[in-house]
Amino acid sequence: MNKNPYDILGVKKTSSDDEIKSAYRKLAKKHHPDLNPDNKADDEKFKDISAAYDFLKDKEKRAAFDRGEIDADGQPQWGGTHPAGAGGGERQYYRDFAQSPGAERYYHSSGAQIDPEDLESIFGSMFGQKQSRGQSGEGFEDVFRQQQRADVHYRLDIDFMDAALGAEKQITMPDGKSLKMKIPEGVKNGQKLRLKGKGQKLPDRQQGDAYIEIHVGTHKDFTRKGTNIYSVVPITIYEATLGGTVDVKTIHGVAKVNIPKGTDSGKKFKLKGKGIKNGHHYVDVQIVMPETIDKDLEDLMKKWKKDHAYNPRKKKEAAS
Amino acid sequence: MKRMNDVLDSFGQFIDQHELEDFIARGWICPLRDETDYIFEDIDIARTHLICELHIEMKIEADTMNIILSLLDQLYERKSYLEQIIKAIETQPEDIRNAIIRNAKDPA
Repeated sequence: MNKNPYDILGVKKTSSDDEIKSAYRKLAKKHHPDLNPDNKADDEKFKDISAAYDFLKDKEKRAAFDRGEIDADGQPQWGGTHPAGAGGGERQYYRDFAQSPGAERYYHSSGAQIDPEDLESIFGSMFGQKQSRGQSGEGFEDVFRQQQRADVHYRLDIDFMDAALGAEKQITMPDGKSLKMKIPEGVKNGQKLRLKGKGQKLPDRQQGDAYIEIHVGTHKDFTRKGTNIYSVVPITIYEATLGGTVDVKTIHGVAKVNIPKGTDSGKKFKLKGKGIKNGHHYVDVQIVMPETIDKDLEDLMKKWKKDHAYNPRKKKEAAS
Repeated sequence: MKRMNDVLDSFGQFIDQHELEDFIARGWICPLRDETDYIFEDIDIARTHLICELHIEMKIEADTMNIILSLLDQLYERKSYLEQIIKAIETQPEDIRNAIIRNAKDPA
């Protein structure tokens, strides 16, 4: 059973509201999960502390508990449960998101793109790059926050093809000004583009920058991995059997692809240089049966089967 | 993804629009924007929650809040870089991984 709320907060039944509040604040600061990112044990403790405080600060509940009243279920009024957070449902702490995509805008090197291929940039950011710190005499934190507040962050949804090939977009800022923005070829989902000097102007501060977070839409035919494009091309049973040339849509237009005789489902073709920038386009072949199986096809297959029966599952079993 | 009004609704009477805008102006939360309004993602809401608890409920003053948030952000940034490096190491062949671990424990 739960400890009683007075014990949890370390206060007495005779403690005043202020004493309880101050005890709560002291404990909450110590055990707040976001201030203890690596200590999961604090979660439960913080929950108990919050629940105890929520309970005791309610004068009616506190009085009922002091009188030893029980609730409709025959339980003491104090259930020890934490009411759902203000957002409703299971409470999620900041630390649950602090390393997820989107968190970068709260990092100090806000906006700086870390290229995973560039180790130096990772270490550079990790061990502190030199940043301009504003005039001397001011605390760094002060200058940092002030400068950060002059920066503004925008979200821009762009479609798959614009992201792949690059585009120019007209964007409207909340102040009504519109400006032309170049979307670079091959921009990635989540990538941030910086518009220098397009942030806010605060007194005595440098003009802030605008950061545009790019959200790339999906495409009905293409998927993308880095600079490579992937698509599926359906072929007929006779193209698969006899070979032939098929038209394949790429981001650069239609390409003719030679399907060799006997091409199987799942076979991949690489269309060199048909991806984004220097990337490639990979085509996944899928054999599609005709919509209706007519008598001609049936006869053909029956005839063929007689002399050429084969079992592709046998091969699979042997391999495993 | 929530709009300003949805966020205020979900916080009930805990904070009002003025306070939420103040958090944004102070740089404590940076929700994205589009042409019409702010866009709050889950991370922004969780952060607003934290700020409410520290600043409003626990009465931590604004100057101290700047320091706390800044330290927290630096901590998570370092953690995130560290994770990237660990992921990178994990993709290496075993002998290289072992060599890195040996060197980390006992730098030459």
